[in-house]
Amino acid sequence: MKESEFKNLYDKYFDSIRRYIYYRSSDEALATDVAQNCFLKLWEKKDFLYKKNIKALLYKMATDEFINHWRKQKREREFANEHFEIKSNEAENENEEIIKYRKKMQLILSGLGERQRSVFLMNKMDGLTISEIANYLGLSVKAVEKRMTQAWKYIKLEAGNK
Amino acid sequence: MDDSKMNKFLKKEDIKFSKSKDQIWKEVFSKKMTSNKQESKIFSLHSFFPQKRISYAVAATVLVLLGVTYFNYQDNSLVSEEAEVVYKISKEEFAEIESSTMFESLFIEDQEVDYFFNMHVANQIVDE
Repeated sequence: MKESEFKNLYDKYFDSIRRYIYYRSSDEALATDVAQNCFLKLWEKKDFLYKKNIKALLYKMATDEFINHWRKQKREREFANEHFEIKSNEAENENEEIIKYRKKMQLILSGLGERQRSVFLMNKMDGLTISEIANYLGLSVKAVEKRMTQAWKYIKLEAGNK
Repeated sequence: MDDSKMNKFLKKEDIKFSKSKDQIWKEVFSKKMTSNKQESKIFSLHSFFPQKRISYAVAATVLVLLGVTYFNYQDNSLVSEEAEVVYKISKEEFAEIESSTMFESLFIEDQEVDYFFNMHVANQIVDE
């Protein structure tokens, strides 16, 4: 793999990998570190890579890296109060209602399980289809559908309560 | 909560990171790429084995082979000369031993000749 090819991959996938880890962890620094490490590993193994399905490989690497980190930090994380943060692309013209709605959504998403939240947001924010998510995360379509259903159920329940 | 409203809202939303991917590229990856290039320069085959060095190595090998072949040939010819000398000596010695045996046989006592005749020659005649 040449440097230019690697740069193309980086430009194409870095953000989506970082967002995926952020969807799961709600931790910006961790998401950046994991995405960075994935691409460093990819660069180190560039001579042994098949160009086919690199995106899925990156998601797999990111998931493994995230799980490793999660295991190491488990005790600390149990006491940490994660706050999931999202921002609008059109922040200037926002009215109070939208700001209120965002806060509500952030609260609901923070309480959602990380697996359900990542699948849900990959679908809703990144516009990935169920089969694409299943392919990238190495899951069955049914498993992704199940997580989506669980996410919807939780969101509706919480939205009704709040 | 309305599904379509939520979908619309989430499509507009984004995650803002403090460092953009371009910043990370400049800080981490561009350095890595340049250091990698330097490393590859140091360990490139061409710089490690330049043409001059290869030709010197080939010339030295040929010289060593010629030297070894020459001394080996010299050594072999010396050995064959030595072998001839040994052969000559042994031939002379053999003749000496032969003549001394013949001379010594004249001094064998009669009793010994009788014993040899009775034991071997007489028995042979009886068998026939």
